[in-house]
Amino acid sequence: MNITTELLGEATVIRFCGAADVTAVPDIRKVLVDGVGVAPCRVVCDLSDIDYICSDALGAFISAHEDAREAGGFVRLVHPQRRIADILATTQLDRLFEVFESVELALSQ
Amino acid sequence: MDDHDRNQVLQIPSCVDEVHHVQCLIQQAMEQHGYDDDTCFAVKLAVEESVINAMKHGNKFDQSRCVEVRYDVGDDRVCIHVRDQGKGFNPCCVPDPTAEENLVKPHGRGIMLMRAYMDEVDYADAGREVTMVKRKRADG
Repeated sequence: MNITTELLGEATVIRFCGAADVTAVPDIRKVLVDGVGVAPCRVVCDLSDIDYICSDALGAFISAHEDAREAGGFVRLVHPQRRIADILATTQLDRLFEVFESVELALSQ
Repeated sequence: MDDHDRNQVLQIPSCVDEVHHVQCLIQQAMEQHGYDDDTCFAVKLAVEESVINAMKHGNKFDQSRCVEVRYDVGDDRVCIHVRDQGKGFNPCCVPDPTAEENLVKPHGRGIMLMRAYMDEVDYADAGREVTMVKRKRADG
């Protein structure tokens, strides 16, 4: 999996590309921890190029979401592909995460 | 179609790096048998979740313990058995990950995803073995 990070204003935008399988989880976890570690803990995760995600990867996003929330910030998700959106719906994680159509929308609200 | 897709048995160490190889073998067989992409995706996910569960919860990532994966890819269905060498568990006692108090927990969604994406999921031998079946869709 390829992961890039960009600071846009007060937010960290993380773009993921590829399969979020179990071997990618350590890298996913690290980049999320780093992102949440930057005040004010506003992280936008662009999922538009993720074509697969396992439950351990979901766990990494959940942990980051909770850490950010405790710090008064957020972890928002952007434009998941259909199969990823289905997984979020199946696990009802779409109740937990705010999901936006674009990075710009996620940053603007 | 050759017989390499039927009743295959893999013995893999409890190392997460092994999962991709298992997925690839099954995916290749499914593609050769004309399964559509969504069905292949579903099986890929269920294989990962079940094998990781076997490694993590069953074998505790003990490298001396193996996970056995048996698979059979036929023209109308895929059948996969995953067995670990652990102490077993009661799959009926797994908490509901969609319950409010569990939604924020980072773990506990593997079995749920297996049940959601496969047509049949059955446990045996005190939870040490899981059998999963996915049928080919009528249109693909």
